[in-house]
Amino acid sequence: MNFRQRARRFAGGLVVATALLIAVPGQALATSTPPAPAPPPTATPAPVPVKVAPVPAPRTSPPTQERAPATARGQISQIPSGAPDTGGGSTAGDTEMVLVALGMLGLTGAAGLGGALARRRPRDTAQG
Amino acid sequence: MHDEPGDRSRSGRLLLLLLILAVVLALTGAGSLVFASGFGLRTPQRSGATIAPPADPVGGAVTVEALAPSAPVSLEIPAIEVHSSLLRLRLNPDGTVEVPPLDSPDAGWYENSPTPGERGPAVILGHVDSARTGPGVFFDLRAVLPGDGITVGRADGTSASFRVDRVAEYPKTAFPTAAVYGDIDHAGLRLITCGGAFDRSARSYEDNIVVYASAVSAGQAG
Repeated sequence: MNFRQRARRFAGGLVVATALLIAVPGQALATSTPPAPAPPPTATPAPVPVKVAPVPAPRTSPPTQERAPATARGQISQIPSGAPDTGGGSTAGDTEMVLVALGMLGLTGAAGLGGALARRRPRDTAQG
Repeated sequence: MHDEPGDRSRSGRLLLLLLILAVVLALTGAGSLVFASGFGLRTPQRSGATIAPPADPVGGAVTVEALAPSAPVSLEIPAIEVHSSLLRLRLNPDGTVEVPPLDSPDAGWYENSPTPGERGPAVILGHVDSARTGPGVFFDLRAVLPGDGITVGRADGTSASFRVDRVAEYPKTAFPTAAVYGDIDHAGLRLITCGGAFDRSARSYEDNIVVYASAVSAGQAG
């Protein structure tokens, strides 16, 4: 019984190992060359792979090479960064802010003095 | 210990004097506020300014033959009565474009851009206003409309005429560098100034006004 079982297992393992040995390289071949074997008969199917092949070529560096001639003559040689400050921003408000501050100070002072006067008047009249 | 009547009248007069001084200061402050919201920081009003994507030049300007390089010396925009000499502007060390001195009545040409009439976008900048001197050379630039004419006089005696394609207003935080300074297939002109609301804390306008124009003809200056 034991011998039979062992023999069966060995035979099964052998079959599996043989199958793997055949199948794995087969799959490898299958993934790497699926379309290639088919077209050999004539040249007609050839265009399909041939069209794919040229793709790498234009990848070299077309955009910069195409733009270079355009910028070389007449176009802006140094592109400024940011937005131009063409308003009165650099000095606007200098004088005005001082005047506004003085005005605010004056308003505060006027309010304070007015209050002081208002408090003083009744006292003066009470004393008089 | 009561105050003498003389002391009281003296202190009263002092208080009155201080009160008058305070009122004068308050009036000065109010006046300055009126000035600030009025003439000094006035923003030109116009209708028709739009933010739009770049458009094709008006009137088939693409067909105009580009001129040889020659520095621009004057700028005329009859529609807004601009008659200006042109300064030469460079690039600041921080990479931003130089602008004319704030008190200058003239606009300036960015010398790293093509000369007006040459193929490409010639860039001319001018101030919208100044707190010290009032309206600048491009104060009314917003009022320019598509189809208006612009003439640039050049050092070689020729002039380049342009027609406005469009006027755009952009937030400074989103200034479209590529659209304004990018390559074009004809002789173009970009007039740039400030616009929008004035940010007092930043002491700068929030927007830029850009006039896009294309060359329509070239010839001998008058």
